[in-house]
Amino acid sequence: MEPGRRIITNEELLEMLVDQYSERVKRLAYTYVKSWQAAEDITQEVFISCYKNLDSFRIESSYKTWLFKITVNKSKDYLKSKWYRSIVPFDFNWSLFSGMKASPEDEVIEKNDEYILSEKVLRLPAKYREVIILYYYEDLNIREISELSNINLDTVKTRLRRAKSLLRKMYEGVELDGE
Amino acid sequence: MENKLKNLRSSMNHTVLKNGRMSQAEKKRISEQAINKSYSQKNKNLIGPLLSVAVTFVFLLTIGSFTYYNLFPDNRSAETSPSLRPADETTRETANIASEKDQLTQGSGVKEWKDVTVLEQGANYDMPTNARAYIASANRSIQTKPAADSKLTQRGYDDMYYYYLESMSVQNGLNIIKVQGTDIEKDFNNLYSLTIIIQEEQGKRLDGVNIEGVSKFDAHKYWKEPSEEMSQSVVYLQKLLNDLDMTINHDGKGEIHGFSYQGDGDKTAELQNFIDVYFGF
Repeated sequence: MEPGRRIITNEELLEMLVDQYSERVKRLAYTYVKSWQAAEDITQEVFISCYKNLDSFRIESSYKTWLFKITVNKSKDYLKSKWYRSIVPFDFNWSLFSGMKASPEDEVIEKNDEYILSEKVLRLPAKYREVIILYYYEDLNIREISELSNINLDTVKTRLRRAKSLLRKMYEGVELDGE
Repeated sequence: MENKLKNLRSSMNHTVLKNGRMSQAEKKRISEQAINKSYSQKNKNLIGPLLSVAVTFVFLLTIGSFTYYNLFPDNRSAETSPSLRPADETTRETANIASEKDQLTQGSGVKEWKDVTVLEQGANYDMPTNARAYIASANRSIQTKPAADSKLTQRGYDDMYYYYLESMSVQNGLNIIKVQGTDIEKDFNNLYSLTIIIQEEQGKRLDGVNIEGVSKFDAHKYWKEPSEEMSQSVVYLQKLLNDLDMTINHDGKGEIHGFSYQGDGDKTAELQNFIDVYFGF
């Protein structure tokens, strides 16, 4: 060991990882399950799993891709679970109630380009949404996405191309509707 | 589209994912619970759940065997009967299924492929609904040239717009027709990618063109010239469809251009490079 350097404990490492990645894990989980409550539960499970397996973590991948891989797997497990299939969760839309309108800030957000793009990405079919999120939102490269999601490299490329094509079609649809 | 997607993280964080923010207290709670739950799960006693599963299994086995021997007494005599007729039938059925499957699967190794198209019940399709017939039909369509007396030509649309429409039709077809097989999937993916390039490049023809006040029937007269990439993609699409048609419908006989993986073409790398360079990955 180099002088002046100390090995950090697993607890300290976990705290660092939670501090650095918990928001990203929660947001990534949300893009799969589309429920903040479920995303929060998955985030908790991800870090439980992370802490239990810290000793077996291999340096070949970064902590980031390792955590994302756990998140993707947990999110997919959640979507496959019996509970999810029988009771589809949803985030309650309070603005549906009369007298409970969305805040002015939310109304402005919903009209801007950023919201339109984000909402379209979330409306993509799951397999296309996944690659778009991992490539553009999480900034992973094709190889990392392939390893993380256990999808063949060429399939990742194809899905990414198709996803962009679908997004473009969604935009064209909006323009047509607007005519 | 690419520019919009480059800012996807900030776009989503400001809008649909803004609830993903976490306070320091929430982060602390996650760390603490991760540590506490890991310890409690490590020390978890598994005897209870295992015993419960074992008891349930024994109970179901008892009920099952009771029902079987009391409600279906004839089954025992049938099982001990020397007649082998039911077994023969089963064997014959299995053989039939196997031979049907053999008909669906063609080639061997990386060339082995099968049509895995799933059609929606009750839906009407204005195209052939199996891979072989679809590729033959798409090949015929993409090789045709717009007739001089066609409505498109008479209204002043150029040939490239005609091929754009044809390629969109191929794209729609490929959303329905599905194949399984190492090499043929590569060809289908390349066909799809080429249609996306043509679609993107057609979109670029309209970018920045001011058609304000112009009748929508005349707007195409102000479009930019088709790009080199668009023209090249149309050529590749025609050649790949031809090669694939010759390979899966004509045993590889006929004029081949070498762009199909399934047909062991010698120019697949050229086409792959064109597609990969265009998309940047």
